[in-house]
Order: sequence, then C-alpha cells, then structure tokens
Amino acid sequence: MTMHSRAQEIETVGQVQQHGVIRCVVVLEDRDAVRERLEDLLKDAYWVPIPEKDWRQCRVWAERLVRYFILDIVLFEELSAGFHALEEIKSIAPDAFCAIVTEDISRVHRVAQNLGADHICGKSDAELRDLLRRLDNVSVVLTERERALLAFNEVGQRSLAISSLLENDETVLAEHQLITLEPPLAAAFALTGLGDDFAMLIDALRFALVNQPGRQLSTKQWRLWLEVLDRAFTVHPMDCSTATDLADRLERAGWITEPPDFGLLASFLLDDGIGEKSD
Amino acid sequence: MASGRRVTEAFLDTTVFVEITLREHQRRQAALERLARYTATILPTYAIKEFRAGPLDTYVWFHNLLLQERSLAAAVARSAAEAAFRPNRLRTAVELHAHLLKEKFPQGESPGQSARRMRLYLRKLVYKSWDMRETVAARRTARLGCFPEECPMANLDGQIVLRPIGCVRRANCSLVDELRSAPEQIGLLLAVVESGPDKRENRSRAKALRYLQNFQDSQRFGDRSCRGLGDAVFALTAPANACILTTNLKDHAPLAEALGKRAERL
Repeated sequence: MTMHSRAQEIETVGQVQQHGVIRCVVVLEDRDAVRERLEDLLKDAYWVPIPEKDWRQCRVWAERLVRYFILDIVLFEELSAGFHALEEIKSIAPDAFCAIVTEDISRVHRVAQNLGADHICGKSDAELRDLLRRLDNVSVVLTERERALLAFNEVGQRSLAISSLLENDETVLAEHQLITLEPPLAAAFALTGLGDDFAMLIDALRFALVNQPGRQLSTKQWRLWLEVLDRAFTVHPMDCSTATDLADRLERAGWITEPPDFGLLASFLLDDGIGEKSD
Repeated sequence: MASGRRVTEAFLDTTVFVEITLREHQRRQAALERLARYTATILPTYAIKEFRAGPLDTYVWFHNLLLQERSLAAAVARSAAEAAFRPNRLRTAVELHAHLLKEKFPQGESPGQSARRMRLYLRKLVYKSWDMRETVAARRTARLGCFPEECPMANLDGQIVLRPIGCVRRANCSLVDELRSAPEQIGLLLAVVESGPDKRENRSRAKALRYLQNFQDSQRFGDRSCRGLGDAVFALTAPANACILTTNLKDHAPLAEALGKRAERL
C-alpha cells in the first residue's frame, strides 16, 4: 500500500476525531523500511504524504497538516527535513505529539529534545510498539478551530444526504430539507481559521445567500455546491489542481465572478512586468 | 484544415502565457482563440520560469497586500507609492484610483468585501495559471532540474507562499549546455543586443550573453545570469521551423531574425 493511497483515507474531520489525533510521528532516515514495519504494527494508521521535493517548505506543510488536523504519521527521509518539520509543527501546535525514530539516538537526542520532541526511540519492534502505545494514549482536546471544523463537517454530511435525494429526483428538494442546513451553515459562516481554500467556498455561498437577498439557489446550483463540499472533504488538503477545479466550478455557477475593476488592476500589475510589454 | 489555421508551430513566450492566464476574461478568451490558429504549440519551461518570477509573483504579492490592507484603494495606493519611479505603472495607478473613487459598490457590499472578492479572484488566477502551464500548449519543453516548480500554497493567515521564486539557490543552470552548444549564435545575438537601444534590459542581456560566450565548465551559470538572458533564450531554443509567438515583437523579432528564425505577434 502506498503512502498516497493511505492518505486518501482521511476524508472527514469526524473520522480523524474518532481516531483521536492530533499527533505526529516524524521518522528520520530509512523511510520505506520503517514505514513497512509501522504499517504492520498499526494497521489503521493514516499516512500523510509529503512530496520529497517539498521538504524545503516545511512550514507551509506543517501549517496545512495542523490546519486540517490530520497529523498522524509524517515520515521524512532526510534528517534536516525531519528537524525542520518538527520545529515548525511544534511552533504551530505545541501540543502535537512528535516522536523521532532513528537508529542513532545518541547522535540526534539533544537536537531533537531541544526542538521539542516528545519521544525519541530506535527502530526495534519493541520500541516501535512502545511508540504506538504512546500514540494511543495521546488525548484529543477540541480546540475552537476543531469545533468549527466539525460544524463544517456537519454541513457536509447533511449536504451529502440532500445530494442523494437530488440524485433520485431533482424536484424533491423542499424547503424543510434546506432548513436542516441552516444551523451548521451559521456555524460554518462564523469560521475564521480554516484558511482561504475553505473560506473561498464559504464566501461564495455567503455571497449567494446573504448578499443577494431574495435570490434562491436553483436546484442545479445546490447540486453543484454539494458536489463542491463532497469534493472538498475527500481531497483535502487541497493541491493546486483541486483548488483550481473548485474555483472553476464556483465561477461557472456564477459564485465567483470577475470583479468589474479587474481589467484595470491587471494592467496596473502587469504593465511594469513582462505581460504588458507591447509594441 | 480549419479555416484561417496556420500550418505553423508556435513557440510561446512569457507574454503570451500571461495573456492567456492572468488577463481579464475577455482578453484571455481572445488570446486562446488566436492560439488555436496554430497547428501545434510549445510552451518552454523558461517561459514558466519568467512567468513565476515576474507576473505570478506580482499577483501573489498584491493578493497578500490586499489581505493586509483590506481595501483595494489602500492596496493600490501603497503599491503605487512603491512604484513611483516607474512612470507607466504610476499612470495606471492614478487611472485605477480615479475609477475606484467613482465606484459604486453593489448593495450591501462594503469596500472590505469588495477587496475580498478581488483577492479571491486573484487567488483563483494564481492557482489556475500555475496549473495551466501543463495544459495550455500541446506540449511543453522538458523540466529543468534547477527549477523545482513548487506549487503556490496558502499558509494559515491566508497568504499565498510562492517559494522558491526562481531556481534553487547555488544550483547550476540545467539549460546552459544547450544554450552554449552553438557559440556562433550567441555572437550573433550579442551583436543585435549591443546595437539595440541603451536600456537596462539590454545591458543585462548583453552581460549575460558575454558570460555565456566565455563560460567555462569550472564556472557556475546561476539564476541571475539565466534570467539576464531573457528573450535571447527563446531565440536560441525555439525549433527552426517554429515561430516565436509574443506580444512583444519589438524585442523578439531582431533576435529571432538574427538566427534565421521568425517571431510573430499574438
């Protein structure tokens, strides 16, 4: 099983919460071999893929991981990348449980401890089992952001239920079904800490529902919105293509529109650069 | 063959990629339609590199500025102050400001919301334009080992992070061997640049071409030299049977013609 396919199993906040994480393992060196053995020992682990080439952007990755609460097992092959990640994750989420697994404990012990590692161990089966026991005991405290995410998740779940109804009959969408979305939507609107990818979706809906009073979303628009939510839950953290795809869907539905001043702004931004050089 | 279609391969320069990805909708569509006239299109990785370091970085910068200022007028004023020594840009800023003063916001929308709408639109373009580097042309030239093409990412504050901007620091240019494989062509381009107008761009291009001409294996051809070459890279690397497609014919045409190649305006 590849890291990527395991990572795709992380779909909802509820799923993450059920597994009781915020926690993280940073493994240094000999990544594949350690992963194989950890997989044997921890069958339901969630693996977070960090592209090898992206380790230089540890802070950004750490922020993403913390933002979505999917810190479970993060593996780094390079010593420096692992230390960078450890430092960044601890600075963003001091409560995240971070462990270092390495063959050479004496060499990394002091640095790892200074950076805030909660557990440092070798790669023997006994040590890995002990590490996993420690992970099981890491308790989860619901932060404000996590509660907000759960509200958003509820919107998603209810939306998907409505989506199923729509699949059967487009005309079945009744007002009382939409009303069930109102409380979690209100909570979702109040979110501030989700980052712009989700904020963009929320904003789009806000503009559609709040800023244009009297405008009813058509069944088609609802279906699109639900699809967007569905997609957002199955693929986050979003990559560039997914974010583009979502933005495109929203634009096609008229929820993101080109601002009237945009042409002038584009000229302003580009005329001193490459874009506006003209004959 | 479709009516009006050119039996020509188009080698896209950075200005064309900008036209297709970062302009207002109508202009983007028009550029795409014009591109469809060609039987094949190639996007060189060097155009992506220039795009990232220039226009895309500018969009990211302005997006992040809007996030701080929360007002389009304030962000434009701040960036105009920073661009005061660039007359063209300042002129556009004044024009944009005058437009903003007259603007009537849609009912219920505050200047802050209007700024946010603009910011989200910019954000969409940043993501989408970066994604389009793989799809806009029929093919693109090989990736460069020195240029990692990291995706733009968002941090917790909502700011877009675009790092690294150019090539990996201290990396040797992956393109240098191809560029210096025809030394006589470098000499021809140098002659064109040296006889051209005395402007900053030409001075740095001449310097980079001279460095390339005398380049030794023991030396390092870094990001600055690579960027200094600019339009010369398109002339050197465009296939002989392709035309270099650009909005900036004035700069590209003499370089292309010096090597027996063609440049066309988009």
